[in-house]
Amino acid sequence: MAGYDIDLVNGFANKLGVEVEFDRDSKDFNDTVFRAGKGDFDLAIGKLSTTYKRMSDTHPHEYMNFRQALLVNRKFVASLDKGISEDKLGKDILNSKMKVGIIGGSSWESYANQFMPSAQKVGYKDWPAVKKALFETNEIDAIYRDATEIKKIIYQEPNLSIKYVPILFNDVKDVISIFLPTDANVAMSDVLDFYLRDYGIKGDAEIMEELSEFYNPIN
Amino acid sequence: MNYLTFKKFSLRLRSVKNFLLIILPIALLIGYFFPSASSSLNTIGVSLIKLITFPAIPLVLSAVVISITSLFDFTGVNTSHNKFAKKLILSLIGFIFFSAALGLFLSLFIKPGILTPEGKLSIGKYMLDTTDIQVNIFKSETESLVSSNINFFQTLIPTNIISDAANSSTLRIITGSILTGLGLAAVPSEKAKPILSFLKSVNALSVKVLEELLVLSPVMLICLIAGAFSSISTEIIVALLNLALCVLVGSIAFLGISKVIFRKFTSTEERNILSSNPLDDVYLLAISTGSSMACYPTIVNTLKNIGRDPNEVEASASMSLLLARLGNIIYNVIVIIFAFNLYDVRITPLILIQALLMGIVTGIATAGLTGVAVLPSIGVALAFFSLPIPPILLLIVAIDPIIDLLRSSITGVSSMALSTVVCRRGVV
Repeated sequence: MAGYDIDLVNGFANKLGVEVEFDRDSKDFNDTVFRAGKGDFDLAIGKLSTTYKRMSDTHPHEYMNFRQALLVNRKFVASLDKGISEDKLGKDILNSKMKVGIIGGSSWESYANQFMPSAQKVGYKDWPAVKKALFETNEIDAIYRDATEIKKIIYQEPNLSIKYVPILFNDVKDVISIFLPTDANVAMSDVLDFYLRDYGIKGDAEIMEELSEFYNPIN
Repeated sequence: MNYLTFKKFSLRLRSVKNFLLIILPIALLIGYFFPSASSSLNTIGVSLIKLITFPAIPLVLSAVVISITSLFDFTGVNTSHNKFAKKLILSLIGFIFFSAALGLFLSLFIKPGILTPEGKLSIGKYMLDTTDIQVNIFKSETESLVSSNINFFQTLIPTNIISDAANSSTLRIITGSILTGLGLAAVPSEKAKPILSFLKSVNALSVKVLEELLVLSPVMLICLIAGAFSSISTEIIVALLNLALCVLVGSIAFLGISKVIFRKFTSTEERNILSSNPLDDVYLLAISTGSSMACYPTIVNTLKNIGRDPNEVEASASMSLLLARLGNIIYNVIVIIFAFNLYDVRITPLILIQALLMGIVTGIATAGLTGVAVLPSIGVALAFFSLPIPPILLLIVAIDPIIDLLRSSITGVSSMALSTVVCRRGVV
């Protein structure tokens, strides 16, 4: 396993002088947080969005925040485009009856209900299934997640930007947190905050720049 | 070297042979060996273009008023005027439909927009980040929601012909000049004569100034080609090769067709008066300046020299250069088919007819606009077919410095051909 979260949690374990044991058996993102609350493990990490629902048995420690984003079929956008300003066009898209694909059982379902009330939301079992519905089976008009995931798709396959356009929500961010159980040792919470202070809270642009090899366009 | 020697040398450079053997190699060598100078060369080239367009406003104003007055005679005194007007209008319509059909034929044959995987990758990389839509969900809406289409129609309505000319509002100058010309055609000739005489002097002066400024066209051409060579992304040019090729073939085809028309509609005696083929001169002039209006003096002087009716020549040249814009019509049709291919639109006979008509309408709507300013008109056609506008505009803007020259050349040579067809012979 590799990635920003893995490096982060390995660094934390290193500071504490303990080994990391990864548990990847949770059904979905909600289940991961739920199991942390139950005490199945010491903390939950994995680009987990912060929602009030997830705070019933856990408390969040923010370490990243990403702009929310859609990747929309340009033909769908063109069907709404009336030569109006870009900001108004973005809002028209959000208020339209588009079919938007999301990961089922994730926080994106509640975000979609909040920001796209008229859209037809379609949940899929995981992110590859969401992408397949947009690019291969053409069942949906758009997919919804954070900017790092949306931009990654077209950075890694730039030819997709001919037919699909990212829509970035500048003022709606997905706060990513590490979740600790509410009954965890209070000192653990302070130590984690102290550790995260060194890292700082990263935005999507910083993450994409830091991990440029991962995000940069293919040659 | 005095001015007259320089002028003679510059005029000699305006031939296909000298363009290929002298201007093009010099420009490419400068662009290749001095890429860091591309920005300065572009600035010099664009400044020279601005200088050449200096007499454009009085030229457009006087040419359109004189043309409209020559075309229409509402007093019923001169019926030959109305006959010429009918002939010109019918010929304009014929040329417009022919050019749109040629654009359609070329694009169906060359298939712009059908890309190789490498081409798709180049275009995709070029578009990365630049066409993203940024949304502020919680920001209050303060932007004007007035449609750009309404703004376009507002730009057509003249306010005051003097202030429109002072503000360089070309579209308003054209519509204002048409109204003024119609007014002059309706008043008795003795009352219209002093104004027409003044406008003819303004026209002659503008043409003379333009002719003298065109001496600089070889320098301008070298600067523009050298600047473009080192600054335009060759990757994008390769990816959009079919689109560029379509316009290039259209430009060369129109040169050939115009030569045939010129030969067919001129007598041997008329052609013997000329030292060179005027279509070559017009073609090179448009290519080197990117302005079809720069061809006006050459078209008018050539046809006057061979004895065509001066009033008719001025009317047909200005009307075809300013209003018909065949280069833009062909180009718009080609771009529409390019967008169809890029976005997998199923092409049916009905769709083709719609593309032809939208190409004509949006091409004519560019009257008075030059350079990259003509491109947004294509957006109207793309919106009609519900095709994405920003990516197409982004791509065509990328290669427009080259395509603009080809569009101007089509408009220039077609205007010469049309004027040859409609203007009466044997008037000295």
